[in-house]
Amino acid sequence: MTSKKSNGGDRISPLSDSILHHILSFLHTKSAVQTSVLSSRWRHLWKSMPHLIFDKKITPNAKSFAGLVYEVLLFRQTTSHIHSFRLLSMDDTDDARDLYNWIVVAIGRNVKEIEIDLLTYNPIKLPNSLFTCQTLTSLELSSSSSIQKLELPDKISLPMLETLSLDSFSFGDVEAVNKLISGCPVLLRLEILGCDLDVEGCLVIDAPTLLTLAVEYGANSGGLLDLHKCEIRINAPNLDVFWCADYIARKFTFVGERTLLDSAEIYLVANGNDFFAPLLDLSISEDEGEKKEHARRCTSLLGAVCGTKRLHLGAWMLLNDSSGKLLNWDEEIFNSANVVGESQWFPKRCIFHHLKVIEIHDVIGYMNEFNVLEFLLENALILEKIIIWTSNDISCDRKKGLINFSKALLKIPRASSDIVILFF
Amino acid sequence: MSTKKITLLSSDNELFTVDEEAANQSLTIKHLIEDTEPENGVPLPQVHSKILAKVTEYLIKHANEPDNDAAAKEELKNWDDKFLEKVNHETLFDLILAANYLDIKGLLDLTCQTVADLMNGMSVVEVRKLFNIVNDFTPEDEAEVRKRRKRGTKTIGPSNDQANQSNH
Repeated sequence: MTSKKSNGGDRISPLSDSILHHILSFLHTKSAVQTSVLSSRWRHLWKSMPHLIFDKKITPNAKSFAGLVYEVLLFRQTTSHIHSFRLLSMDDTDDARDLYNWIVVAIGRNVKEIEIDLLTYNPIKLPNSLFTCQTLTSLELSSSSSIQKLELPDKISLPMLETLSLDSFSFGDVEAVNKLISGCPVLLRLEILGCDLDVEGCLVIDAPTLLTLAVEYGANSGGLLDLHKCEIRINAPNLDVFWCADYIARKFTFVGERTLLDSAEIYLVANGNDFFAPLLDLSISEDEGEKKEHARRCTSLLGAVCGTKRLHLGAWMLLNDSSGKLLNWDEEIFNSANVVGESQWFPKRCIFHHLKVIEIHDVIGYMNEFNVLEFLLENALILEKIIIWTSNDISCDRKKGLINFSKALLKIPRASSDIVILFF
Repeated sequence: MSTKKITLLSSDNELFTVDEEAANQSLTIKHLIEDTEPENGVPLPQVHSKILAKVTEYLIKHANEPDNDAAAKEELKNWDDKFLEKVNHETLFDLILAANYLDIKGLLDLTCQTVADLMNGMSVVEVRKLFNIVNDFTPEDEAEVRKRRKRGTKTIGPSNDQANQSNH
């Protein structure tokens, strides 16, 4: 920023309270409060700021931090509502009772947005009134250091809630989460990230207004997911964006009519530990029946999102097809036999009417990957772009193989007249 | 298909023409068009041509916000940074007033964020100097306000009070 200094008078102080509050909303509340020393114009502004953000990293001393939050809440002008209330990096030195009190005060001030980010290993207790707050439009809870148990009350009523984000929590019973979701009748955005869903039962996402859904498995749960654990059932007729990173064994069921999506991103892995290097270990499951069931679930999930305009896939999920075979792609196989057959990846009548862009990540050059791309080239009528991200962890031989892979791909007849294929 | 053009009239009677889609990012202009259907341009008596030129430049660039394209978003962000790079304080505050009056959320956020970034990390004395803010406190008042702020550090921006912590 190289703004030239103005030679004129004070241009900032005559701005209205609402503009100055807007400027202060881009500062941490601690800094915003500090502006009270500037001049009499600024002295009381902080007492009615609608956006409050407290970050423990900036005020690491627990006593100073608690003192600051209490001061801002206590000296607040009685008539001013709190729009957003954010408490970040709350750690083990903070008193859980303080957190409880601050949330209660914010609720009393008709708060619209609450964000709480925990860096604590101690159990926390959130006030029950948080889950019956009539003014709340956004609730974002995250636990960065460990998966925390989130106690949800029996009575849930969040009539205005549009955004719900839960990051790294476990729930005693998945029914409690179902109750939370069904207690939000106007939900637009739902994120369930890093949560422990390795539990019995069925997560039901029944949200008629939902536009965006993101589901990510809990990194701590590790190991193979039991085929019979927690199914995720989605009934969201207005869904536009679907993002998921989960176990290959997870059963996703889409209920209802919704077939048109703006974008779908799907990254499935065998187990949580393999997520960052999925291609190093291809021992998916020894059990043939289990393998087939995994493939069947992948296929059904892809079938459910085939009405999307943009599709992003992790290549790993494509390696284990329903035949249970894993073929290395090489020119010899490609040329010698009629293996370029029908892909077993997509349900028979899966038609990609709307697909414009497909991105596949971590491609190594297997036959299965080739088959999927071939199927899409031959069937997606308005496809414009294929972006292939090749894996970083591959040998020189495989890199050579990939060159042939790309050459072969260019020879496939295409359903759409104008396609760009990019390799990275 | 040709898009509908909207003409805007600055306080010093200069005309600016933009696509309706660009103009509609300003809720004030959108409502003025809906309510009055002005024939000789939408009158904006509060905005000088010098500022309106900048505002329309912003509106045109942001008319088609990318939804899902990370690269396009990055490009737009870089454009935003450049857009205010050589702007002096005078213009920056005029842009804030214009964005507020015209109700253009993106431009108001961008300009207010820029001012906040300027203040960040500065001492109270430095901020006063930067914006020509006159310290009108009586010595007693200032002593009182400063006492209240004793817990805080002296800078507006975030800074670690590790030293403070070790005292406890």
